[in-house]
Amino acid sequence: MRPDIDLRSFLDTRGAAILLILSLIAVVGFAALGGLIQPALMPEGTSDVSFTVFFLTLPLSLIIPVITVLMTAGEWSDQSIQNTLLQRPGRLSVLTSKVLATTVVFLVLVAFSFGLAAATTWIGGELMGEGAVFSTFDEVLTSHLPLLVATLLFSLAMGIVLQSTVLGLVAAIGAPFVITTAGVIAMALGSDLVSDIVRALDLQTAAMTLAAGDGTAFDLLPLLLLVIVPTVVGIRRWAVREVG
Amino acid sequence: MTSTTPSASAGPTLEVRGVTKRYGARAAVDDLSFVCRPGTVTGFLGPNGAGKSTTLRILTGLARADEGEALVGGAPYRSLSHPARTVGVMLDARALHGGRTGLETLRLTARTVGMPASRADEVLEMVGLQGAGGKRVGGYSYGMRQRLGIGVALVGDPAVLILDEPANGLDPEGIRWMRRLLRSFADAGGTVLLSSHQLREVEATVDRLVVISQGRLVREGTLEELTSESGTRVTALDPTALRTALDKHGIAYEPRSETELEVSLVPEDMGRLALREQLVLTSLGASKGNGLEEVFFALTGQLEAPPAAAEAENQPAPAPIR
Repeated sequence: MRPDIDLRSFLDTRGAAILLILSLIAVVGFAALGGLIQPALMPEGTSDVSFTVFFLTLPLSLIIPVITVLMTAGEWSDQSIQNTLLQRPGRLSVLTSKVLATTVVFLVLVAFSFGLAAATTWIGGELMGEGAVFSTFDEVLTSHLPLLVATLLFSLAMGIVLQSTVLGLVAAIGAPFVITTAGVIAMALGSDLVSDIVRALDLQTAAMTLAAGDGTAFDLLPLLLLVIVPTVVGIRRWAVREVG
Repeated sequence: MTSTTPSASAGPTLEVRGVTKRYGARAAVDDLSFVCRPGTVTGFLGPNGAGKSTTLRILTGLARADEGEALVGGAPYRSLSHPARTVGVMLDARALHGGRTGLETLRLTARTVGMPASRADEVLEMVGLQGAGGKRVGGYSYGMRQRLGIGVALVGDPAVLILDEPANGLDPEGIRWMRRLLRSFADAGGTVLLSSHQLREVEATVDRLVVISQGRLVREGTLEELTSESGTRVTALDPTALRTALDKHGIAYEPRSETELEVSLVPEDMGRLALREQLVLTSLGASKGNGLEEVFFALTGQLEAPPAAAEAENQPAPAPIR
């Protein structure tokens, strides 16, 4: 396994440089929006770290799928997988290596974002407002972080199974949006059956429920349907798909 | 000082043994066997769709054979511990990432295959791209991509080279450069297998030839053997019956005039065939040695002249002639 090679091969392209610059601008912008402007909007005049991180999850919900799908499926789309597999013919080893490299990028991105959220919350609360609130940090860990982890897992599964940048991005970004919308419609309809179907596919809600310790066996269903099954199918496809 | 010669004194042998690959009902490669030995440049020839690229992909582990095996030094490509240090491969220059510079492409390859970063600069100079190393591959011409692709193949200092249509897009100077590169590589004990459509280029570069058609081997031998061997020029009282008999037995032929055919059989075998099919031959004789182009067209049943193209389309796959 060579995750260092996969990291470098992703980072040294012009597309990745543009993506990372745009991502940085978005993360800094949303962190500033959440942390610095919050005191002016909140009745108490405080800045709450949980609220700042909530703001940050908006761009991260787009950035994480884009980076993840590009890192796992990008080489299939631009055909450079041919050279990769000629130099590293162990296909499952290459796949594992890419997953590791993607996870490292995710961890760095999330750590940077949370650090930035804490900094802007402190600046906004202590220097510009009536105080910074950090006591809600467990909410960050039980609510926002699981949501981001769910986004990573689903994006990985889509990248692995679809092996196409376009299809992977459409699925990884579009499916959660469709499921959330379907959830709202199901609630409006009041149908238990439709609600259960949507719940069985709502990975993000299931992730938050499980992280809060309130999960049941049913909450594992989205993980099975949206992550485990596509990943297993994708690993099989990765191992046998012909190149060229 | 740069090196294009393989590190090993004698490179591994490439061996394709009874390889068959089917896509649905169609056999892209059909029981194909041949060997490429160290110190030789082997040309892999065949018309479009003959199965050359499929064979090369099987040989390099990018596709799996349904039957048979393809070996590099006695082992499948995928089981080699450092494949890129043993075999340099260039199958498709478009497979290079367009968003990376030429130098970065080579540096990344060097790092992947465990070579020092300085090897990238060395190879960049070797392939004549030292002036374009900082330019993104997306802005390269096809010929420059071909050179870079060959450079990627050479980074690991391999003892074997497998190249698919390496001369495509190269200018005359580039073709001469490639010819020298492959010659010196083989002369130093390396093994080279290259496929190409550019028959005159192949003729000037290779020692041995493997000719396939419709996935099957139709001829294997040295360049001298193939080009010095004669086919047979034959005319018959009933030219239609002659063609029908040749088609029936899958023998490749090419019209030389309205009545005369050049057949890929020796005169003796042509005589036997005529006897068996009860054909009256009006002339039969060995033709003189041909150039590679004529040999290729005769062996693969492809016709060079447009007026005869319609007849060529109706020809079945030629029978192997060993």
